[in-house]
Amino acid sequence: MTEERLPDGTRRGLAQAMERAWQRLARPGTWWTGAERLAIVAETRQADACVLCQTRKEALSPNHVEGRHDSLGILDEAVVEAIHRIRTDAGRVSSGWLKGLLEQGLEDTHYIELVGVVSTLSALDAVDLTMGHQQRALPEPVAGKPKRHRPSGAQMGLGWLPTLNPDGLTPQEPDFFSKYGDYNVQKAMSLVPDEVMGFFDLDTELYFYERELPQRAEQEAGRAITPMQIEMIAARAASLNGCHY
Amino acid sequence: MDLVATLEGKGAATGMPNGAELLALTDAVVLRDFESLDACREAVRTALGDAGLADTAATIGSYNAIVKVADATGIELDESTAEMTVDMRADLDLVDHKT
Repeated sequence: MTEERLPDGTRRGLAQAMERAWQRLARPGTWWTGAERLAIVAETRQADACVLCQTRKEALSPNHVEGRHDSLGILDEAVVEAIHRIRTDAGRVSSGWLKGLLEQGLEDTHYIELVGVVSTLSALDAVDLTMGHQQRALPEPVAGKPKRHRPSGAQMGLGWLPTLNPDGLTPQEPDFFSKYGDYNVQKAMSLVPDEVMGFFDLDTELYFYERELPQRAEQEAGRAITPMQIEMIAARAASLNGCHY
Repeated sequence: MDLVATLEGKGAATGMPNGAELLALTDAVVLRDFESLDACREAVRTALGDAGLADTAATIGSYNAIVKVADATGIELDESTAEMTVDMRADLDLVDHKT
């Protein structure tokens, strides 16, 4: 089935998912307010012009380069460090680095939601850059309180922070495992389940649903480039980003 | 697909149709090579049309994001994926050195 496309060639479903993702950045999350999430968005873009980040990226080890980030001055230093490193050099962060941020007062839950925000923005900005579109202007923040729900079933054992397994879900959490899969990449941000739902709502349109899910075959048939071409692009992009996973 | 050529950005050597154009655009976006970006974009558009460009953009977007999720949380490769890719990772000399 050929998916409907906009005049610039973008699949309509993707365009809608991108708009949902963009608006979600302005809404209260699980741990950050809408205004705070947008401050993270703004600081993420600021990282692209940060001299410290550029110097670190070019260094053999980022840990040997000291200095201060070219920051907007709104968020705490630990939050700024997290944003800038994830945006510019995520492939070289370590458990020791994260431990240092947690010791400075950044909570694990807030960190995970920040990872979701930075990653979502990075996807949207990369699509717009590739297409030759202007960067999206920040929306107005949506008022409201974060829901502040920490899954009771989250446990250490996978990555550097607690994650959920399917048998750890409770009725208070959305079942992202059934919807998106139960690979490690779906578990990675599961300390903040709403962030998993939001991220994969976008990513399953950018890329694909997991191979075992029924939507996959129709998705592959509807693309204007072949699955192998897609995997080639993916491999190169991941390699250039220094991705360990 | 020649995976080594892919990871080295040698588009023409990948054996993939339009490999050169697709990898050049991927490089320009991820490396923020603004001097080359417009020309690389138009090369993909000429070769694959607007829809091909858009789907290329989507893939680059995905892999500009998912890698951050994985690396920022320290997750490891799933066992099933590791088993399927053992030969590929050996060919590429990929070792597990994440701390």
